[in-house]
Amino acid sequence: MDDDGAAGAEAAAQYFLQLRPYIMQTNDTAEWEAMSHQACAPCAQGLEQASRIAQRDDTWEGGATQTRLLHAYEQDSATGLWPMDIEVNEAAATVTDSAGNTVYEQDPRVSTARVEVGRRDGRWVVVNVAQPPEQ
Amino acid sequence: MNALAIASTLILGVALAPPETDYSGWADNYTKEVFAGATGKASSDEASGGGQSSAASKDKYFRADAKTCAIGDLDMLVDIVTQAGTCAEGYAETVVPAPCEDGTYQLDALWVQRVQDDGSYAPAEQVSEDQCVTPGDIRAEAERAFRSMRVSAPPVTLQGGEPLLVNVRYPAYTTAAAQEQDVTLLGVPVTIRAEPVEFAWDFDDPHSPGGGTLVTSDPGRPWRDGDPTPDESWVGHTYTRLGEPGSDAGSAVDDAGNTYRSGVTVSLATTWEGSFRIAGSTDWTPIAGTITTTSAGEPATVTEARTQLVCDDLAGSATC
Repeated sequence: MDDDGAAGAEAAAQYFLQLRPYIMQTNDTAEWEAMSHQACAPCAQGLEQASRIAQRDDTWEGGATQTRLLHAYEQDSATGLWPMDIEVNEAAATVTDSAGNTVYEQDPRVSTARVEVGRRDGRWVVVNVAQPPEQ
Repeated sequence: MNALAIASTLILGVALAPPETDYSGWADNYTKEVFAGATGKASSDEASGGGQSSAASKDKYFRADAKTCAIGDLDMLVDIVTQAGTCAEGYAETVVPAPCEDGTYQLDALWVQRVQDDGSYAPAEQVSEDQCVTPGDIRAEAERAFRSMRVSAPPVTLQGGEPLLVNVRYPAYTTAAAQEQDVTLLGVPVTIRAEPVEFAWDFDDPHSPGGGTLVTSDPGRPWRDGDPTPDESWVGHTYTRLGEPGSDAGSAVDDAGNTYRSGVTVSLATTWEGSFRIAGSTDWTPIAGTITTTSAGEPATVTEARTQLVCDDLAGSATC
């Protein structure tokens, strides 16, 4: 992620995608927040959910996320954003409450995300995690 | 539980452990819109040399719309957005009431910071005001987009089991589905639409009187069980002559003495007309000019029916 070009953008995007289950498990969100642009709605959702889990004293398990770069596009000259399509492989996840009841279950699934990464103050920020637009 | 205990439970609002369905994973949260257009492949090594990104030496353009303002603090945009002063404090996305009429598209003011000879950027200057773009404004660009549109040639079907026979009216048909393409013209999202309006058939039949061509606006239809036998009004063709074996190329005689032609290929030239629609509008504006596509069917053999009993209907089912 030290690289400030395409390679760094791709590394930042994959790192951020893989970070999600960690913040759900620990509510340790410092890195997540540092890499989230305020315009990124899925980033805000992740932060809010990690906080909600902690507030309710629930426990998140699983959801390990593997990623694979499918296609890296040219940097957008107007905004400086690096768009890329990434395959997101989420393992099964469960949430249990403090009494040990399972309150949420998530099946494993594979999806494709269009991730848009930008530079702000010389650091990588994730601006968007979207459905890939139809061609 | 007695009534008092039940009442206490309800007053305290203690839930009887309903499942919490408001948790989710990545795939449940993807947004529906992107911020940037995405083209081509990344240039792998250019960007990492010397710490300069490949886009750093170009003029910086900025349109004062909500989407761009929302990311106006990115390194690429922050100087120009600040100087232009057209985004709200904190780059929050604001909902601006649209001053444009229905059917027109609001294009926000365009600003540019030009890169100077020494590599630094000049102060932001405004290139254009807010505009309400009408179809007339982009008609020429829409025509150009239509002319270069990649339209898929529709399929060609001559309906009949092989080998085809002389003196039988075979239906010919294709599909008449319109095709659309989304493009951006001068910053405006537009849909270009191509509709087939004329079908020119060539049945590869130089020998039958009347010629082997047919021009129609009707895409034709397949014959189905229960339909009447196709007549001259049904889009299709009747092969009546197969040429002279020995003097006409492609004409031959089989062991039973029947003349036949093989490799007979039906082709279709389709003429398409265009129209376009600006994003958010319901009206289609016609585009001048047409496009033509060419498609062909599979080669077939046509033969005389002198000694062969015709036992199959047009759908290929045996009727004997």
